Amino acid sequence: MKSIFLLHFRQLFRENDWILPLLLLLVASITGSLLAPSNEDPTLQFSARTQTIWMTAWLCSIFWVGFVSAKLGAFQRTKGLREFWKSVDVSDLHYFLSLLAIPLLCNVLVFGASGALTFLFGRTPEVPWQEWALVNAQAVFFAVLGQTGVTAIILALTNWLDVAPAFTCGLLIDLYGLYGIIAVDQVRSGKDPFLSNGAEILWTIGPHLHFADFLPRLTFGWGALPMKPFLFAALYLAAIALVSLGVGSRLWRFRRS
Amino acid sequence: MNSQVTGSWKDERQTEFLQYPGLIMENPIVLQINKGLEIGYKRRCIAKLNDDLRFRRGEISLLLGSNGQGKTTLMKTLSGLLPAVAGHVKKVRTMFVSDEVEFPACLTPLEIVSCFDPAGDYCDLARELIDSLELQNKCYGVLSKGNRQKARIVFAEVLARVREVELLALDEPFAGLDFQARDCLVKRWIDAKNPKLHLVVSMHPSEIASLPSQIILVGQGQIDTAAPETPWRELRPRLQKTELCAA
Repeated sequence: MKSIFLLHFRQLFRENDWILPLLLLLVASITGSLLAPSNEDPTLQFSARTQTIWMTAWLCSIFWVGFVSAKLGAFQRTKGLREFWKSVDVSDLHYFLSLLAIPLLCNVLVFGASGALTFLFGRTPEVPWQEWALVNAQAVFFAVLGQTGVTAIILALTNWLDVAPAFTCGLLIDLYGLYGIIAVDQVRSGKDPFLSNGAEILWTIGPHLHFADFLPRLTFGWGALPMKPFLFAALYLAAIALVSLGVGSRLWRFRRS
Repeated sequence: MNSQVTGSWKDERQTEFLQYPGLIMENPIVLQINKGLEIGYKRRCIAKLNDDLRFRRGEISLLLGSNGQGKTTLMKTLSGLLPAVAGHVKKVRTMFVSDEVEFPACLTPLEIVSCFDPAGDYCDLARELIDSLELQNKCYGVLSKGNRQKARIVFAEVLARVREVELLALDEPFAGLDFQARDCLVKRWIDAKNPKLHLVVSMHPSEIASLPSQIILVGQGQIDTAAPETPWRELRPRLQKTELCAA
């Protein structure tokens, strides 16, 4: 519903929290090049800048957007707005999607800004503009898609939990999906059959959010993902997002006080 | 104090509140509830309806009862937020505004109204209400308790029109309001009534400011109706808690 989206998007804008990720991204694009030993290889400054910008964007998405989702959801429950909107016959799904649109838009803005900054300031001179634009566009698309499910789960959990535990759940999903699952992969090939079987199941379940992280591809200049693997990865991440949306909408059901 | 309330109520009693000339409606009844309805939480009945209730468009029902007797529960049941323990409540376009609902603290009442009414159809109405209630257009978070209550009423009036609500339930709208604001609201609800909806207003009995179309009494586990012209001295014993009566 438009009213719910407008009310809370305006609230978010007025609370001025968005200034922090914007500043961090700008600082990252300015100071990122200083982190590279550019006296040895001057071209390293571009990849260092790209890496800093995208790392900052991921941190902003995980921490700031995650917190925005948790705060937004908890606000509905603690301030009596759930009852208010329910009484005017706003369905749970409409309500959930109207609120979810806000952190999704935040993710689009965060990753979109980092994509634009990397496109402008992170290109190594020998990489063609078109290819650089394509790989950045893919990175933005995957990052937004990957984070959609996590923000949906955080938002839905606030129907049951307070801000801090809901945010922590989202943070743990992110850490597991981005880094933990790589450790699971290593255990999978271990000698202990019990552990490797367990790791195999975990590996199959996922979620493989690391597919959404284009940082190595951008930093090491691997270029854009070819069409076929791009589609497979996009379908996988879209499926994860859809499952999370389904689970989230179930968790977001109105609870009578 | 009670005699004062009784006096002011009697003075303002006018029969034109009961009927609205010129109001032509195909179906003037928004909601009809048969006696026997039981309200409560989780199958535990806290009050039972002893009379049939009819909510007509363009009219006002006053819901009276002491604390904890089930006024809010009845409003929530009418609004579809709670299921009836026994009996049935037909689904109509409702809106329930609690006196505890809060809005984003960093937005002003007019900004919140503009979110509820993006097309701006009722912007003038909101401005007029804000002016007449002397509500300051400051951030909601810094408004006093009374001013927040005024803001909630403005939001309810606007959103009820935007969403074409048929039954608007305001839970204790006069709580924290100064007497000028109460008078202004009562006058507005009676003079400039919305012909499309029925307004249900719950309040503490001591807050009665004017004559409604219908009085609903909630107390001692019973929900009864009383004629609009019933004097306060007759209503009072019916609202008193059993133990207080015995004392």
